[in-house]
Amino acid sequence: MSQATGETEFEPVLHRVAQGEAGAFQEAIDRFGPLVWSLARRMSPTPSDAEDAAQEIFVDLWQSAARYDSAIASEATFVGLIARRRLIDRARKMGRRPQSVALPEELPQGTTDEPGDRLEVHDEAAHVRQAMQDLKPAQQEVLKLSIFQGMTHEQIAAKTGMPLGTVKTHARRGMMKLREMLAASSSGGVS
Amino acid sequence: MSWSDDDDIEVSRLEELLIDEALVGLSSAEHDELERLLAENPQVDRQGFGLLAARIHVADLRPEPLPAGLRLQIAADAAARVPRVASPIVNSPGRSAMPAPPILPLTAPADLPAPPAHRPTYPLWLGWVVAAGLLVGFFIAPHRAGRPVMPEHVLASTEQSVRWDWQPTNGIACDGYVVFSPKYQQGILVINGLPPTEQGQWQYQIWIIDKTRDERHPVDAGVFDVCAEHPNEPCVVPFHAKLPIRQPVKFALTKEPHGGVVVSSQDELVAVAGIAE
Repeated sequence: MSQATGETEFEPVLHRVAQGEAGAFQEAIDRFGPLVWSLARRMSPTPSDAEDAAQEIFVDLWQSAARYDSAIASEATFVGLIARRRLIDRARKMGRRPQSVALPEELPQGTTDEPGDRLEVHDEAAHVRQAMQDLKPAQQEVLKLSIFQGMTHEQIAAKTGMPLGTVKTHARRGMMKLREMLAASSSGGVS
Repeated sequence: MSWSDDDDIEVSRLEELLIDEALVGLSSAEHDELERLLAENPQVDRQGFGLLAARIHVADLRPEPLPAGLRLQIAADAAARVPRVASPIVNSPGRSAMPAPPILPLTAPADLPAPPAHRPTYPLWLGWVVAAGLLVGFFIAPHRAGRPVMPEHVLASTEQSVRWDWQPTNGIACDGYVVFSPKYQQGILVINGLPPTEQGQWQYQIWIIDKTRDERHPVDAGVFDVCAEHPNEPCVVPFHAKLPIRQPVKFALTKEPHGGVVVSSQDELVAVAGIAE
């Protein structure tokens, strides 16, 4: 990741978790607990469900730690992947989409953020945010509702009034475009 | 603001499924279709869009601290699920290194006689006596016997399982909880803030008060050490009762000479957990 902000990168911990190193698990909980909890809270219908989800996510993480590849993504992104998979799976099994936390109409722009408030370094967040802003408004809206609020395509269609097929098209093309725009990034870019 | 012209972007069926998997998940039929397409296209990055969605989500997330109780549970679960996770417990000098205990289902003990219908009262108990059995460093004994350790979530989910928070005593600032399963006759204690033991000098001893037994005779559940190397980590101690526990009503921790005692003076009571008197 870039050191432009002067923040210090954490030493990787997932490989040490995979090796069963003493203290690594605690360190991983300390480092990624807030991320996991935030995701679980946003994508779970109740606080109790969020707690269950968080525990399951960490179990998934312990089991997946050996598969982490620092050349492909940051640890935070990898943890986010593990967490989102579990949360999406739980939501599908429950037959509903979670939205336990009222989200602001507009996501924070980051310009007033304190560096320590964001899990990723500041310029990574800015880079991602800029890529999102470069999408068409309809694609932005669909992907924000999908990624940040965990809505299904059907729920997005109902909320926005867009036909379901249009929602799917915006989601898919938006992701393809984001992949293209972010591919050059060295911090978890997807080729 | 620049908007990209992407009307000409073609999305293959494989990419559609990968994107849908990353955003909303797939049905069984869609999953099968994806697996088939991936088998036909092994060069495709299965995780790419999932990582992309995660990267976007994480970049704009404002982290919230884990609730303390949840954090303890996650740490305890990690210690119980992953045999090589080291809780801050060390063997006393002279003891051989223990292999990691296997995590296997434990056959439930034979049915115990039903407890008496009338529930006796439990005044503050004094003059403890272990009813029977040898005193062994209990963290050692079950593992030498190869007795498997059940994960906490399994212990907590059984019928009549109990989970109580520790109440510190004698000025020791500790917190945590204890889980015990009468079905499996196993428990796990999770506790923060215990002062490190002096190896070879003294240890913490676990006691269980069983409603169906004389309260003067709490059941020994073993001894354990706390090392100073990980002062900020919770102690996670799986334990087994030396005698069958039918209905636990209280757990206690005391400081005792190395190896434990048969009769505790109760002078060094560290923490209690259970039903209020």
